[in-house]
Amino acid sequence: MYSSFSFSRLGKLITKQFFENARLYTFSVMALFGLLALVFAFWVAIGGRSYHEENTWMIFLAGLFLAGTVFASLSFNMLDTKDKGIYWLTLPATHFEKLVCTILYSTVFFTIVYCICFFIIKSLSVLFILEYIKDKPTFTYTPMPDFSKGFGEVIPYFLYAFFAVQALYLLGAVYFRRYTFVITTVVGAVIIFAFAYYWTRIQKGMFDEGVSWNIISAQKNELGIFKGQYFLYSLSSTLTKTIKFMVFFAWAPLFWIVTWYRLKEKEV
Amino acid sequence: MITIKNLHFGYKKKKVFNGLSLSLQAGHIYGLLGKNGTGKSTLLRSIAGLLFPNEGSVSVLGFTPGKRHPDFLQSVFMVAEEFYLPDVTVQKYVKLNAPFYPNFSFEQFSQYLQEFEIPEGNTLQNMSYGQKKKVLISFGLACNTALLLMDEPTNGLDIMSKSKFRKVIAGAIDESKCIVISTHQVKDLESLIDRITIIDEGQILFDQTIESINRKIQFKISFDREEVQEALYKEPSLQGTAIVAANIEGDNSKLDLELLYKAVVTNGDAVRFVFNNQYATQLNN
Repeated sequence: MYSSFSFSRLGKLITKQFFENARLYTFSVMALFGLLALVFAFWVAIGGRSYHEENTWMIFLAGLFLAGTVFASLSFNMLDTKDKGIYWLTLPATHFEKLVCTILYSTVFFTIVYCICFFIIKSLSVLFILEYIKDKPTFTYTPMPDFSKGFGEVIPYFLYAFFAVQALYLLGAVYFRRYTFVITTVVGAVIIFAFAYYWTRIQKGMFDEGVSWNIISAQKNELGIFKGQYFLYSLSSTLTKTIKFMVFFAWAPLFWIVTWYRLKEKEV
Repeated sequence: MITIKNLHFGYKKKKVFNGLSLSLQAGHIYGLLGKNGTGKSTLLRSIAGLLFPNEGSVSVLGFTPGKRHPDFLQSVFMVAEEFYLPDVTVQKYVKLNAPFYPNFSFEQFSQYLQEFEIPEGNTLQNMSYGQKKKVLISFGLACNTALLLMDEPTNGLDIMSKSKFRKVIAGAIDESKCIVISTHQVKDLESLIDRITIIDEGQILFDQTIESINRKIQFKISFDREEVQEALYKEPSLQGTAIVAANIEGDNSKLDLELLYKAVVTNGDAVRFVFNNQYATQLNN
């Protein structure tokens, strides 16, 4: 086990990564603060007379995805050039440990730091708004009444998607040496487009018109005198749960595994 | 320690090695000589596990380098020609990297830095190329790895530092270690290496110990026309004609790596013939 994974080596890697990139991380956090402050200032300025907390969650997600993918694209910049590649690949640790360390920084630590920056800026902005509208009866600030409903309900799905997208950009960072973010974005968009295209083609080829299909089930709505009635063809509940689980949770580990293999194949 | 068998390797368009075989043992400092682009760095990177053979095998200390097993990586250190050092102080660099090498000696590291006159508190990015290289060489030596690979280590070093480099390397070798130095600046390695391997066009042109070279070849300035005519290699010099000749009489001469290298590259068959037993047999007859 020690030869393939060692917590001691991982700890050393995490420490090394932090101190060797401390300046970069400091500037990145400052830039993140600045950008979030700018976005919130814009939101406050254009908010008109009614401010909704729900909007801040949209900012949260947009910022998380954008900043997260940019950060993930830079995660393997040590492999961009020969000199850095030699330094990184000859360091006595397994590829798995190096990957885990990278995932910790690009996904876990990044998300924590992003959330801290976001909540500080958000709290300051809300405080400012509440102070600003205190003497203005026509101005309103509407907090989200119940976070577990409405927009709050879909946030966990966005987070699953975030980890998957983050893992995809990590993979892109190993595959592409230059313009990693742009190329990964284009490749990701092409894959999604191709998937949507073939989904439509399969649906048209397999089912009659009026049948809606979502992989797990197909629903055929009756017309005429039977209008309102429908036939529902569905996979078993176990299979449905398995597929849903895979869709939500399998992408990130899948991309991580491919990244791991790609790291093992890396030559400089 | 290192066994390379039938190594085939090429980049996209260029074939570098076509069946190269080589064996290197512990307790020696090997000089890997060759022109630019002949595959010296490629060979070192193949040994370090940074490039994978297309065919054939490379074995280092019983490991397959390409798998980059941590036990292998902590037994090998590479001082690359193009190297990277992070933007931290020397002390911080050592503190962060030394724990990965179980045999690292802080005491040795300080000694080497003192030898090279490098201040420990400086930030690496603020140092000159030569200073950074000296820090890397000091670190590599202090790691006490069984195998130390150095690619053009004297590039960027001033004359005094080259001399100190030779001194430091000579003091670092022992029976358990192997140092492979690749260079095209052959003069820098004189009096340091004990075995010379010359590669050209992906092939081993010459592979002999210094002791064997001194026994079979002599380097001298000659005024004898016949001797110059029969030399393995000759070139005019201010004093006369510098020649590389077969050492028939068993004379002692000072090894001139540059001349030897030129002799091997321009008249390789004749040089190799001298090292074959056939030559001695022919002389006896």
